[in-house]
Amino acid sequence: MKKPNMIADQYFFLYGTAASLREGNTSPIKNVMVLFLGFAMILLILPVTPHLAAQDLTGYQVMEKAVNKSSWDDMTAELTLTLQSARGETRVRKIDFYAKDASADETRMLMRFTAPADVEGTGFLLLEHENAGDERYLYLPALRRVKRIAASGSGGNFMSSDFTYYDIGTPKLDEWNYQRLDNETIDGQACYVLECTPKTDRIREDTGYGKIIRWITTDKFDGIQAVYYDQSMEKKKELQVPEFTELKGVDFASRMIMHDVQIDHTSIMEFANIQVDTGIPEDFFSQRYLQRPR
Amino acid sequence: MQHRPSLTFLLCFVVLLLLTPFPVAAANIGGYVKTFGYVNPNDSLRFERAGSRLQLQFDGNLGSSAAYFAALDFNYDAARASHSPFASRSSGLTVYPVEAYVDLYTSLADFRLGQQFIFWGRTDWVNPTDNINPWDYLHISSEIEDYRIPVLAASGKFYLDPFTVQIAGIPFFEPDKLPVPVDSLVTPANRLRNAQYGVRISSYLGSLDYSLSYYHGYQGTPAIKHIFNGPIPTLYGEYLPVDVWGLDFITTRGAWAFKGESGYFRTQDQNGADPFVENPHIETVLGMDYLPSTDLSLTAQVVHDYSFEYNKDIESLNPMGAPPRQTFSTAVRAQWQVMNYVSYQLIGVYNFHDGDYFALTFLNWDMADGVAATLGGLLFDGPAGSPFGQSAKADQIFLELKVSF
Repeated sequence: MKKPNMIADQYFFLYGTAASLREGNTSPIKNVMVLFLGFAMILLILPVTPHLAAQDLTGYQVMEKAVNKSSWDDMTAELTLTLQSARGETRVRKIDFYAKDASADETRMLMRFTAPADVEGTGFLLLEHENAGDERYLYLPALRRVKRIAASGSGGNFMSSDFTYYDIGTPKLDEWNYQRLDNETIDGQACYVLECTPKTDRIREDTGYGKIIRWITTDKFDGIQAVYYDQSMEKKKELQVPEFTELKGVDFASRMIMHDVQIDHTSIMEFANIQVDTGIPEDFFSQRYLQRPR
Repeated sequence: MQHRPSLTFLLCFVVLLLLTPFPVAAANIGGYVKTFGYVNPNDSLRFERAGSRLQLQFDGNLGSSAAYFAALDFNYDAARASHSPFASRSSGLTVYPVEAYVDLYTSLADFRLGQQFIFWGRTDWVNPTDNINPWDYLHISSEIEDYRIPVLAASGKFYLDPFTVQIAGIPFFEPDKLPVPVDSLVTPANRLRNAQYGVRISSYLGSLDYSLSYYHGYQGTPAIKHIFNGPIPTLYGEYLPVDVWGLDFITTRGAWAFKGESGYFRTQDQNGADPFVENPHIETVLGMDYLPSTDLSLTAQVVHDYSFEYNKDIESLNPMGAPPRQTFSTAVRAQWQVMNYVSYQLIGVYNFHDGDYFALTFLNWDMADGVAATLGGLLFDGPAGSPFGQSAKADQIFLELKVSF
């Protein structure tokens, strides 16, 4: 595993101390004192400098912090999804978005289209289970009924966009391996760089990804950039997150741009009027409310 | 045949809204304009339908625990204006309330009063438990509003976790629309005791969603009977009561969905003695959906119909021909996202007994936000006298342009 720069600096400090001991250019007692002081300084510095503490994080820990940084129980927002094709065609979908952490292993999402007019009222309910298959329900106003639908894996496109259900859902941490690469600076922000690879073929096939490279800021653990590779390790998509909104002290990715480089298609996801912890009742995420007009 | 709850009902609906004690929020107004042309290729390229429709939709809240919705069609069909035997929306200029209802919400239940659609069942296209809204077989198109007829009803859903109990009462009988080769039709009188009603209980077991249902109403197609007023019998059709006990289920596993639906039809010929009335029978649909990719969805179903108290000698007395004891058919659907904004859909039903079939296929292009063009075709074929063979000359090619607002 390659070490990030700051961690390398610490190793350099220790190496320098030990090297001076080996070279024998000071007395043994003085050398021991220097070594002791060196360790003592590290012990003193580490607790009060989170940056330095973070340097010891493994790839898994970085990802864990990025995934688990939010503390709110529920969220509502107005979502605008803009689709742009290579030929310049643009479609704009507006969606009322509701989400809630129902329990430690269940996340619920309800989305209702408000525009364009021909899909207005279409509703989608997603119940994500940590240890079981997801449940998906679709309400089509034209058919006047809620339908439980099969899923083409979490690699299926979300609302015909370049985002997949995996992209918008909460990543299941234990399903991936995380390899730290050299830290990089993106737009002036120091970032951890993680190479994420699926642990099993099933996960690879389910998500459609053979590898994901993620750029996560070292200070706030914001995922600001990612590159997705398909199962044949060809570059598939690029994600940019140019805008975050602070919610209860935690950054939320409120504008995301996903570009599919293979078909030259772009989807922009923008959240507005975001509210958290409004106390959405659990039964709101049900077939009953999925088909209720407003 | 006129729809019973027509403009009069809509006017009553509007007056009711105006008199309501709830603070009426400003209505949201939407709808669509659709231009359509349906050509019958078997008939010298004559237009079966050609015209335009404006649908206006109004919806809004009535306080915090009630809402309303109304959709009103202004339909002009130049092609059918002169030759359709049916009045209503299929001839010339018609104004037609598609839906008009008020919703009432309580903590325990939701109620809907007014003209509405109530669809039951979980399978596709063939639904033994879905008997409330009649079919309009003369207007099969890509949109369900064209081929299902709304009914005036009071319905309610009670949420008693893990059960949902739905009840529905339909005071007036509305038959299916299809050509019936008879001299007259006998329909149930508009009396309270002739009202239709049903109850459906839905719940789940793990990842299995299921429902049990009961419906009391009338068969949508009439029993063909005859009377002798002389040496030649006179044929007439009579809509007879029926009770339907049903069940349905669906469960999903990854890219697969497994579903089924069955209905036991307790008809008026409970001992099989009347060759002119359908025997009690059970219709069952078993099928699966498969999503091999985001762009493709496949559905395949097998349909089985089995008649009880079947006596071939008695059934043979029916001059229309003896129906079989049992039939097998299949219903399939394929949806394919051909490219960005262009999708294709095929729906087909094939009857193994008679070898007759029906297919509806169409290509849909989302030209812009809220603007769509649909090019499709309807195909019927089969032996004369078979369910789809009767419509063998009714094939159609259609083009629709729809702008939603």
